Parts: sequence; C-alpha cells; structure tokens
Amino acid sequence: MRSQALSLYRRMLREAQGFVSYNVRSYAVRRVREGFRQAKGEADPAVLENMFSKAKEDLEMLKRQRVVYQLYAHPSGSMLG
Amino acid sequence: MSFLARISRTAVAAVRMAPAVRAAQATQLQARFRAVPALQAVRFQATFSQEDVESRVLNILQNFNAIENKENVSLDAHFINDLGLDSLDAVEIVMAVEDEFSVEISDQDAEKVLTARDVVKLVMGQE
Repeated sequence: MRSQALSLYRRMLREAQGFVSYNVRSYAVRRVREGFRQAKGEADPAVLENMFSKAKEDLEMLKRQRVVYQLYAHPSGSMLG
Repeated sequence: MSFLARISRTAVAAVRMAPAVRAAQATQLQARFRAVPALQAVRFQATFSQEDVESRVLNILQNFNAIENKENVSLDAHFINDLGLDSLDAVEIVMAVEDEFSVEISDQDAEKVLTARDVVKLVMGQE
C-alpha cells in the first residue's frame, strides 16, 4: 500500500510538472502535494481504497489536461507576454 | 551528392519505371540499404566524479524547502530521523536528483533511499 502510494505520488508529480503554463503547473504541483499530505496517516482500508481509486482517476485527468493545455498553449508561452 | 539525396532520387526514379524494371530497382535499393551500416542509438553519458555527485546532492538538500535545520545536512544524515522529512519528501528529493543528473531511478530503488549517501551510490551506479 505504502509503496503503491509513493509510486503514485511520483507519477502524479511528474505529470503535474509537465504543464506548459506556469500558473497551471504551479497549481497542479501544489494540489498534488497537498492531497497526498492530507491523506498521510490514513489507516482505514476502506477509505484508503477510495483514495487510491480517486487518485488514479486524477492521474488520468492530469494526463488529459496536460495534452489539452499543450494543444491550446499561447505561442509566446504566456498570455501576458 | 548527399546520401539522402541519392536515396530519394533513386526512389523517385523507381516509382516512374515500368513494373519489371521497378522490381529490379527495388532489389537494388534494398541492397543499397543493406550496405549501409545499421544506425545505432548512441547514448551520451556524462561521467560524474564521486565528489561532484556528493556536492551536487548536498546542494539539492540545502535548497530543499522542507528541511528546517540546514546545518544537519550531511552525507549520512537520515532523511526521516535527522532531517525531519517524511516519505513523500524523500520521493521529491529522488525526483530532484533525477532532474539534476538526467538519470532515472526506479520506484524500488527510490524507496530504499534514506540518506544522501544512498542517493550518491544510486547515481554513481547508473553510469
């Protein structure tokens, strides 16, 4: 369970770090960190099971969103630039 | 004439030829491709010295926000017991090291990392 969580953490962080847009990247990284920190110390197997399936869905969502953001990225890299 | 240009010219010619000639041309083309030595993926790997790796790993730890007492940072300081980190922080350190040295560290190896010395050993072992 523990190593599964750590592996998931790594994959989600990697995915989050890959967003092109600075704002989205910062938010995604912060959100992944917060989510895992909150879940830390949870011992109830039923709750953990729920969290795992939610996190796996979120990982897939991160992957999709990363592609979508890349497709519609502003050419200058930033809307303000 | 460059190799690529020659190949494409031959290829264009082959398409224009009558079928019989085209077949002959094709075998000729194949033979020509076979004569070219196989392209091999070449990996360029920087070589690191032990001291270099050690100082860069320690530098990563120095810049790691979650460590409160930077003076405790040393090669043998235990991430969890001495530096007050948790297993999630350890994962982040491993990721920072992966980025620093452009190496890949497997989940199994990453889990066993508990001190900076372990990290250095992993990086040196990757070469």
